[in-house]
Amino acid sequence: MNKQYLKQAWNLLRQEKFFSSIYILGTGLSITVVMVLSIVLYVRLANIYPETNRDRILVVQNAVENYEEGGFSSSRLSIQLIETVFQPLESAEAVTATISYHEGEENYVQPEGSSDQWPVTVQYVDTAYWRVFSFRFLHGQPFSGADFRSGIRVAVIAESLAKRLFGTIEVRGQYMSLNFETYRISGVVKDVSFVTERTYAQIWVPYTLVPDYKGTFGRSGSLGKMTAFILAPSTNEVGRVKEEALDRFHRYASQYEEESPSIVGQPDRHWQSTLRTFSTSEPDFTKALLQYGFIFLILLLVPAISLSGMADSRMERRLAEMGVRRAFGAPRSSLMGQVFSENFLFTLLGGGVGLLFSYLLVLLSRSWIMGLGKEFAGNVPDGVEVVLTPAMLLNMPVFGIALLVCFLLNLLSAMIPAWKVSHQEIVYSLNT
Amino acid sequence: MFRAIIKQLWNRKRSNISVAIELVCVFCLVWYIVDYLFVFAYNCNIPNTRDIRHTWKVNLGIFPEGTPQYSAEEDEPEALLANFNRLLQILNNYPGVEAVGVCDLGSTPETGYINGERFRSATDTACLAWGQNIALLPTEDFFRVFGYTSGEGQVAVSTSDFDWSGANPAVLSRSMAQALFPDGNAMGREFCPVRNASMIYRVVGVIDDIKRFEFQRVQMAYYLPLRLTADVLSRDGEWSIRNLVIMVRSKASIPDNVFREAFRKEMTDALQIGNFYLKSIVSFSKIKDDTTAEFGIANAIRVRIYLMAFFLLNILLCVMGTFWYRINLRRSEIGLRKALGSTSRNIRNLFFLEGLILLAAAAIMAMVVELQFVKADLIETLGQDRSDSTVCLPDQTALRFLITNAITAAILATIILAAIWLPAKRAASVPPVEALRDE
Repeated sequence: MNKQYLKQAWNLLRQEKFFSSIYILGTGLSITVVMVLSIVLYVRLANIYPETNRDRILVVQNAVENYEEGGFSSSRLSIQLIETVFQPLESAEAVTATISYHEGEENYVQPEGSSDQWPVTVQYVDTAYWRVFSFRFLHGQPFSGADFRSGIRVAVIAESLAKRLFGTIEVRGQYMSLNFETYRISGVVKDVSFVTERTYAQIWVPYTLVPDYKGTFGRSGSLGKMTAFILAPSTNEVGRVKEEALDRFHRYASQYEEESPSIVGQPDRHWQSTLRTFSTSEPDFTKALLQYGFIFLILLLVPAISLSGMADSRMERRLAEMGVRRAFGAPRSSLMGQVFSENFLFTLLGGGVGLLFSYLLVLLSRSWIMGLGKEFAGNVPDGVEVVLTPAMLLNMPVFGIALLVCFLLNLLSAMIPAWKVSHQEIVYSLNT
Repeated sequence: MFRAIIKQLWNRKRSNISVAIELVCVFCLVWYIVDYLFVFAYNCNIPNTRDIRHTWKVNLGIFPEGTPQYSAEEDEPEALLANFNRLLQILNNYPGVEAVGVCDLGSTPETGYINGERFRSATDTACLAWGQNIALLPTEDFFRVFGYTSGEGQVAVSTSDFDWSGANPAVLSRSMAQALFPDGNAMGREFCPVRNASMIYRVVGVIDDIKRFEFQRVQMAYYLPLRLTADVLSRDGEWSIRNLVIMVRSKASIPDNVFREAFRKEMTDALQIGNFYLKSIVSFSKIKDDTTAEFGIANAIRVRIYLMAFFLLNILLCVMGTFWYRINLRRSEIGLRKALGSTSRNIRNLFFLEGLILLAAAAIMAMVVELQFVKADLIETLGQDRSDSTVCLPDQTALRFLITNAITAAILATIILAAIWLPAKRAASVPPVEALRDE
């Protein structure tokens, strides 16, 4: 039966080319916009190299001290806090501390035999970093624990930088100059795209090289310049790890009654951590989700109303046909089914067009679109291309979302026409 | 004719209602965006004395201890200061450079940094103003680098136009001078921080207003001299050399990219003085773009424009689709009208008017909805500072409401006319006989 409906719809589509193309364009437009937003959120939230463990990572980005006499200080975490509270966590698989922004810094590599300087992004990390994030080593390995502890100038570099500097990736043991200081290269990893901002860099070095990495702000020694990432053994155990972390933090904080350090509701799951902008207050996650839901709804509803109007006009012309079917005993549900499946053909065609178009838009605007909806967007460093790999765009979740969106849009736009057609008096229908 | 159209609209109320609902929704959404962009455009048009065209931030590096280029001797405060001054001299002598300025890091234009304080007039405690602190080196020409002007004729000023020698001299921006000394004569007058009345500053000049960012309103500011001596320059001193920012203005006759390349090539070696070396040279336009992006404004504008295009396209397709259908259903009527002497133009106008009446009805409903948002204080005013008593056009809610709604209505009317034009043209071109035969 459904096949019959689709055949009929296809013929109608060919008969009313102008109208059908407007309808399909309208659907495509709506799906494009919703899919652009979905792809941005997907890239921001899903497990993507090298952050392939996003679903079992907990993040602590900042801490606050609230003083008894009023006033507060807030900053990132100190190494003392991370070492006493998070690193001993029994339920965690690994805990890493990183310094990703070293104040006022600009880093340059000095290639040998040239007076040129190349700007690079540097991350300051420890050895657990390589377990929490899944970097693919193409050559060599991470720096050793001994190198890390003694603060030796040793670096892991990205594939593209290795090729640019040495023309090959087999560079373990070679030396390079970063800010006029000489570093030994211990390994080369596959390039990281700027879309995974937290792990993006061309060079990773031990944070023990940052002169005052132990430095603290505030009074309790909890504030510093680090971010902690905690890896849970599995997605199911994230809650348990968080509980243990909170418990340990409470015990830690109870030593400092006057300063009352707080990690404002952290550790966050990855998706929560992307919503955290201000260090002093916990974001309202429900509100943020509602806001996104509301935006999606508007983006679907505005086109749905116009599509619904158009579908309604189309159905008006076919009232007589529907009347005949009803007169010969077709139940209302089957008429509604017909309208829905006919309309779904149109929506799917529009969906296909829309999805392709949304890929195009995302690719064209990749230098800024990933910062969509962020209060403070990170700037893409000079000369850096934001790379989107096919795996980020062409994957089952994105297709699934596209199909779901088509289905929703179809439901929204065909509901009223379907209801009207199937509930019209037969006599009236036949008379039109 | 008017009544006939109303009647037609009423007869086809079913499809008109869905078009009207769509119009109301889109009207509200487009208005929300138009309102934001209106305030943005208004702010961008407020004059700013600071001109960042052809200006550059010169980033210096300092060789770290232990590198072959490092010299402990050159790291002594006296040597640092001497080297720094030599470096400025070289910059001043560089042929492409028109002026050189130095300020502290927190005063760097077009960046997120801001620090400042609340002041009052030394004599009148009721005259208060919060200003941004801009600390500059009086021996270089910060004002000329950024093309500062002063007074009615907007005369260009130079840092050396002011007497920075006395105790605590300060140059005020015009709005700050106005706030502290409303009688209009600020020269030679005194003011002090609200929290510390014993710290007296004396006004040695008044210059035109700056905006902190292009999309904001006027920013009150006061300019203080930086005193560089060897002992404050040492690495651990109050004023580490890292806190100083050097900027230059290049000659307008040299294209920016030519200047940058030439500067990098010719100055890399020349500026390697003591432990200093040239790291990079960045244009202030780039710094401005980066800050606008970082503050989410660039994206906010882009997203709003794209969303507006999306909503308008929706309306275009919706109106085009429904009118195409409607006109097809009314071919016989069109034929009859033509047979009775209507021209194609008459018929097109008929449909145009139908669309516009629909829009007018939707606009009234939309404005009722919008008013609720305004009343609930949900409408953002970019750049508004509630502690500032200056009233700009965007603060005049009623006027702004009317202007932004008029703009919205004009945009939507254009879209609707464009949408009706194609189907109406097709309908109007049908020969009356054929149209009538359709019956």
